[in-house]
Amino acid sequence: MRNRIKELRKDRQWSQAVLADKLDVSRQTVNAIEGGRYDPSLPLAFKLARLFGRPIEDIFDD
Amino acid sequence: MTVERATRRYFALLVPAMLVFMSSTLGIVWADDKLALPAAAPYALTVVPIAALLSTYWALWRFITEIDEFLRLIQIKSIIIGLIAVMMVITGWGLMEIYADAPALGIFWLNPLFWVAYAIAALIITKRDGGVW
Repeated sequence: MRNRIKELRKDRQWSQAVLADKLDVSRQTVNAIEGGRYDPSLPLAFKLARLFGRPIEDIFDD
Repeated sequence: MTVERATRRYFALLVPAMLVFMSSTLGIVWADDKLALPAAAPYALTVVPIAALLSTYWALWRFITEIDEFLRLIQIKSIIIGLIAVMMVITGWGLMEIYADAPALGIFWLNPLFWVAYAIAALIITKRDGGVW
């Protein structure tokens, strides 16, 4: 699944480690999601959506 | 909980439990060989390595519940591969024992086989998917 997490993160000038910290996950997990190697669970997707202040469908695109 | 803390907690329990398992297993072999133990003694002494073994699996279970969902997926895939390796050996070697007179394989070795296969799988999947070991 494609996503805009890297773009949204860079807009805020956050490193992967900073985003991981805000989401309470590992940096490796953020890296895997950004790279499209892992699709997050619904709770984590909602967490991302709330953090970036956007609807889920604005962040993820199948 | 951070993955670093979960990893520290994992190894803090896994390593001593493994050491107790190995030393108690060797102790039973030595005692059975060198001491005139009653016949039931090895059965009773086996409680020690089994308790240590249970601790190793508890450490793994706890680690999996404490890490995040992506890292958990890597661990679960690795455990499944470890179990597949054990099942393949049990079934394959069992058939050879029945039909080809292969020497008997001690089922004691299935536990180390699981850990080796699990560890190799975890290393490979982690490297491929970008997780952490």
